[in-house]
Amino acid sequence: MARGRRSAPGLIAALVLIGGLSGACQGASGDQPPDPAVQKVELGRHLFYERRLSVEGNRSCGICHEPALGFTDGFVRAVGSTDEVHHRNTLTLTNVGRREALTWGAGAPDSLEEQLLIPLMGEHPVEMGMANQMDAALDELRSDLIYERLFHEAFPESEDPFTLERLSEAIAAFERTLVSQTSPFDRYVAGEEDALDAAARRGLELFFSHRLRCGSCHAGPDLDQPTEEGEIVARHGWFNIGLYDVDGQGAYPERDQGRFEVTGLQEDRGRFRTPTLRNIELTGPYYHDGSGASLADVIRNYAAGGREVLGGPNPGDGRDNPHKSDLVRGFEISEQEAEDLEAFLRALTDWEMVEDPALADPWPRD
Amino acid sequence: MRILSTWVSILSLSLFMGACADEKADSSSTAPVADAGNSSVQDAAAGAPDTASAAPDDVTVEDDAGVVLGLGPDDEFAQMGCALLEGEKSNPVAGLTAAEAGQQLIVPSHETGYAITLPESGTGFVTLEVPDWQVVIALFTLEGVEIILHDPDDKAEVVQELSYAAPCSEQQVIEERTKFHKWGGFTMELRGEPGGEVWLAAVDLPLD
Ligand code: HEC
Ligand code: HEC
Repeated sequence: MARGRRSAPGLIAALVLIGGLSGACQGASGDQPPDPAVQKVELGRHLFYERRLSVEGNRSCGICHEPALGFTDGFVRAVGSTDEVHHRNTLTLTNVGRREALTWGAGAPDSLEEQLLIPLMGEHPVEMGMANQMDAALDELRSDLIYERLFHEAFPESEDPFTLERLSEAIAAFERTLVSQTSPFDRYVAGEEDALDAAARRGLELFFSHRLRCGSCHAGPDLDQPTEEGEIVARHGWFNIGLYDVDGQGAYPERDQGRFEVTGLQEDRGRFRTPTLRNIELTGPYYHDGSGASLADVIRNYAAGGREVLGGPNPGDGRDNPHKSDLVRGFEISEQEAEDLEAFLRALTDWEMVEDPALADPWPRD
Repeated sequence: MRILSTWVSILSLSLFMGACADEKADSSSTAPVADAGNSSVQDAAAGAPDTASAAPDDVTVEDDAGVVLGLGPDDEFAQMGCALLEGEKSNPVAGLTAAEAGQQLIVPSHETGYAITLPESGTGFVTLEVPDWQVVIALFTLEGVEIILHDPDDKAEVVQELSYAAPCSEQQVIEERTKFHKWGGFTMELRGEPGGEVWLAAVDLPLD
């Protein structure tokens, strides 16, 4: 746990700073120029929730990554500005600044600055749909008094800061402030014994137990790093957890084969990045395609050693998927234990973070 | 499991269920099950035009399960719903349990109607992806089919009670309109003929 926590004090300091200063800056008088680093985050927050950055004026980053839903959207698979359905479920942005690999799959840009151009301007699928509209959108922002001030305060050296590069720099700076470190789990790890109730403490033990093995893949500060005997062996891991077997030979539904889409290797079929479990209570539905309805269902599937899909368009027994990880073997679990495990997962919810005004939508909602 | 605990509306042919839809706030946890094959259904169809102007309070109860439905609004959306059910439809397959609802997405559309295959149990589950806040979605299906919209977080309300779709009431098309205060995926439970098809159109009305 210690590894990621080391960088935390710096991040929380930034967060406190932003929270404290954002109000004050509104009335900043000429003699004390606002801190560009702070203003960059504040600009990023406005842009993150800016619906004019979508082709139909109905999407923003913050609409698909909404704080109250743990920075996700509640869809099974995301629906973009033109109502096109994405092939994947929306990922949480909780602690996204610490991730070295982005998205459920592989091959995505690994910097936040570059990654955000995909939802902003990508056409397959359309999320915000701004491919041909960015110049016009930047012009519109330029004529908005709030942005006129924020862009110049964030980039005081820049003659014309209204560029795509500056915009993505600012949004990424805001994303790096989406930090969770005050969940009951964090407080417990920091030594606050009663931050977890008895059920959650039992759940924590189960989670890291040899019987359940959750911790083999979900470890590290964000519970997204694979370990061997407690040692973290990779920053991120990609696994097939046996959710499908559409053709009896290990295929996942055609729309998404995970890492295979990039590597073309058979063993990568159905392999997806181990997601963080922070704020997991708020981020359902679950899995790369939103096909897991509840935490109870997820736990049931692990206990069964994979998921048998009986109905719908992609039936098949994921338990027999030949590409399934050896770590997903199934286990006995009592009802009480399943509840305890769920209690532990709920102890990863950071209400302080999701209700933090410094991370909230600054625009009035009509 | 939470998903199954509350519900907002039922497209079916029982007054009982219509009344419950109004009372969703009382967090009733079990949806009454209608007898889809009830004979009063046919009587209701025959009587539909006569009751078009009746206020909801005046609806005649035929027996404990059946009711004479009124006529819904005769507007472009009703026409669209009727046309979509009449035209070529796409063929989704419903999941077997609520846990499988996420396997099959239904997206409101002005272009496509759906002919959804039900499991042998006669009850199937799909997810209605509601793409906007404060959007009204009109759901159209054929009489005898029951549609239960699960709404555990109380994000939806019925704004137009179950009625015959005015432009195609003689084809026994029924419709109900629901306003969704928030977007997201909503589990829809469909009950009909075992192994058969449920015809469905989901028409989103323009936002005001
Ligand atoms: C239409 C909904 C939608 C919009 C709008 C949207 N996203 Fe996303 N976001 C998603 C989905 C779906 C994924 C998962 C994509 C994947 O795995 O391929 C995702 C993934 C991400 C990730 C990767 C997280 C991780 O853990 O790897 C980041 C970062 C991100 N989005 C940031 C943004 C930013 C910044 C914006 C605004 C410019 C934005 N998103 C707009 C739906 C959306
Ligand atoms: C072999 C590695 C591995 C093991 C062991 C494992 N997980 Fe996972 N977990 C993953 C991967 C990979 C995903 C994403 C899979 C997908 O969507 O296809 C995931 C997804 C999840 C999700 C859904 C996350 C989301 O955002 O949708 C939860 C919750 C979860 N796991 C909890 C657990 C629990 C509890 C255990 C122990 C019983 C466990 N995991 C064991 C790798 C693992």
